[in-house]
Amino acid sequence: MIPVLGLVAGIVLGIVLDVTVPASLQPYLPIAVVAAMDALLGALRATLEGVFDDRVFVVSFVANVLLAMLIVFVGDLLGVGTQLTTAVVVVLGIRIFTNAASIRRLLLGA
Amino acid sequence: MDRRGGPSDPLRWDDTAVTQTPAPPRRDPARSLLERIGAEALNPSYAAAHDQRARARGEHGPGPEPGGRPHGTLLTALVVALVGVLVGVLVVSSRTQSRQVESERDRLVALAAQQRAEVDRLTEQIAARDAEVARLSEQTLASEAAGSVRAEQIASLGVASAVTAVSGPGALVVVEDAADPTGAGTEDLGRVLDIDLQQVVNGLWQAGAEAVAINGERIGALTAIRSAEDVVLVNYVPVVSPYEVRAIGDPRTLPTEFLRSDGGAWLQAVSVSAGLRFGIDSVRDDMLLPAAPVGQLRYATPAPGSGPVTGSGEGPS
Repeated sequence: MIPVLGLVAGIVLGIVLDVTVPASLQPYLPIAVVAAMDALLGALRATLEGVFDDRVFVVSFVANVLLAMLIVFVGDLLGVGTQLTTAVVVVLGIRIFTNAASIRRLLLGA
Repeated sequence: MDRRGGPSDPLRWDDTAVTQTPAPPRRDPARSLLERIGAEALNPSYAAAHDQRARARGEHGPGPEPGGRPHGTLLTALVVALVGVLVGVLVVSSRTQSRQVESERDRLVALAAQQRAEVDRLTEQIAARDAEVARLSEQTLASEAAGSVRAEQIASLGVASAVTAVSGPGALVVVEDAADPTGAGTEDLGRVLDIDLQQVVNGLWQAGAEAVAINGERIGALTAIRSAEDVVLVNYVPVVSPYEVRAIGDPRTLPTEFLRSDGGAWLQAVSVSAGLRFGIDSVRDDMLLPAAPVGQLRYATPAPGSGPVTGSGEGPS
């Protein structure tokens, strides 16, 4: 319950604060959010399966977000930023879909 | 892999693992990669941590509740809140970004409309000035003794130099792209090119035309017919197929003379080789050809300090 409240509070805070993202960070924000969504859905599925562990969640979240941004950053340096962004989004997208499907099965049994 | 390499072949698959365990069916590496991503969608560490906790509980009796470390929930909530902040910031920033793009586009659209209105205004101004010039020259000529001769001269020169609109009978040459412009062999030879229209216009002059216009663009002394990318520009105005080349002249002789000219021969040749379609008709009714735009007139002036050449051997004697 508290994490859900945290999510809502975070979204409200993010919108209210009206932070202007520096242009140099602009390309990495969407990737960070996709990685965060992946970690979040994984955590939700783990909770429903009864194997949730906060340490694993925090570590995987931070590591995934940083790694995703790092990959895109390195890709930009090498001139293949768009392609690597696509690669990251594809991998994370598959995971998000799979986890969402599992959550759906766990919640709705279908 | 059909390739069977010897033991020293560097390309040989390391299949010791395969021979030791029952070999799994050969698999498409790309598919197995995707399958693995799907299978490990849930971080395997969750299961590992869970097992570890279960073992710990088994050894030390009832242990802490799953996920029930004192600061665990708070930490989780904090990280989740961080996700929320990220999402919120992303939403806000992408919205401001799209708003910026939109306002920029609106600005450009307004600018374009403004410039177009300016062009319209200037065009009107030109027409008004032209009318004024015509009126004033008429006035001046009427007051002169040799005015009528001068007026005639101006009229005939105006026709020849394409600065006045003219009307009269003549011929109509229609040139069209081939039915399948890219089908006739290489590149876009099936399209009507600038050289084709140049040949047609030259052929019409040769056949005795007094005035020529392509799709309403009068050909004057300073008119260029040239291609820019895929379009043909006449007087810097893009014209498109079908090209209607109107020529004022004798409607009885103009079509046949044109067919016999170099331009007619050119047209027949390209219609055979590239599939361009063309038709020639005599027009007995009056056609109206507009005036060609008059660019800035330039006059040559002698360079300072250079008198007339008097030396021998220069110029025709």
